[in-house]
Amino acid sequence: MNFSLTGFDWPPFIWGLLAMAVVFGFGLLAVRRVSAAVPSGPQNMMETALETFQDLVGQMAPPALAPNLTLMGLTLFLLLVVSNILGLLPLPGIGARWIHSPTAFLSMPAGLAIWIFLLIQWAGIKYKGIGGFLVGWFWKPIPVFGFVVNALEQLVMPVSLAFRLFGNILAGELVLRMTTNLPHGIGGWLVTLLVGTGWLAFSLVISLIQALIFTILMVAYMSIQANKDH
Amino acid sequence: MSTTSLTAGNMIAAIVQWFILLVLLRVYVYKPLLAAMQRRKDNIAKQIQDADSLREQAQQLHDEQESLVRSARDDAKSIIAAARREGEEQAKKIIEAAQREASYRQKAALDEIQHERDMALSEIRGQVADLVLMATGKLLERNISDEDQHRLVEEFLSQAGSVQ
Repeated sequence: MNFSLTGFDWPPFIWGLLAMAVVFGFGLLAVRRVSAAVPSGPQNMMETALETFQDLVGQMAPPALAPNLTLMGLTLFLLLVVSNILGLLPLPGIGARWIHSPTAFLSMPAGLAIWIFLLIQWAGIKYKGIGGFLVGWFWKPIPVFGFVVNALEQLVMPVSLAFRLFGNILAGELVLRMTTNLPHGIGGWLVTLLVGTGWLAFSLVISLIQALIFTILMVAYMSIQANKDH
Repeated sequence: MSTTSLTAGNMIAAIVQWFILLVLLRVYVYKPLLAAMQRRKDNIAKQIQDADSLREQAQQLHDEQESLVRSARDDAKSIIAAARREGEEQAKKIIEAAQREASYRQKAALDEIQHERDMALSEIRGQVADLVLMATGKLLERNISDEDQHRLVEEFLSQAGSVQ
């Protein structure tokens, strides 16, 4: 792992754009013939996702924050799901070339996690007031030394968020590629077929679950900050 | 380049990508979708309300018609009863009038018969008296005075009357 201020990797950026395009394209498909009657097809799927997130966020966040947080969460979830699944798809063409998940590059989950960290601080200031925010940082759960506990907790949060997602998706990609690179000896193709297919199914589930975990944690951290009684 | 490398540019790019996607989805997807969902909710609420008011109206109409039918039936009953009563009264009146008329006619007829009979009798008496006078005059060959004549006749008739 190396950090660079000036460097820029094109693959995660390009695949990120692809994920955006897929999500946005599906969104446009959903509202192409938007209907207030019985919805069908993409509109139904999008509405189901939206309503699920409204319920999910509504349970945690205060009413003032819920509508915005719902849309933020849903967008994050859709972007991450598509990003995660992209890495399971082969590029059409000759040879074993693959699309990569942008989430399999540490920069993307880390960037999102840092942004979420900043959002949480903003929510804390907005909903608790600057005084309440500082008290929350320095005085809870114990006066003065509370800061150490809080700093640890708050810093571990984005790191664990980023590495959980990155690790799961990278592992999924790497193992899938390994199953397709087996030596073509006796039964190699059979192992590829069985293990590869099984791993693909497993990775699809992991893609969904990791996107959901990342999003739900974001919503939960925001809600904790926004609820005054905490 | 490696998957574990952290670059500030890529981190910011990820954040910007999320933000741009959020804005795009908000404007082009979430807004119309939420509006459609709200419209659907409103429609359903309105339809439920409409159904409720319609049911209420139907119930009201039903009640109204029931009471109308009931009052019409009552009216018909009272009209029939009144007509029957009136008819009976009229029949009674007609019968009474007829009876009165019949008894009057009977009495008049009887009176007339009596009168005719009296007149016939008195005429017969007169004629009998003349005949008797003529016969007596012829028999006596002399005229007797009118006074005598009448006296005689009266006597005779009273005798004849008593014989009769």
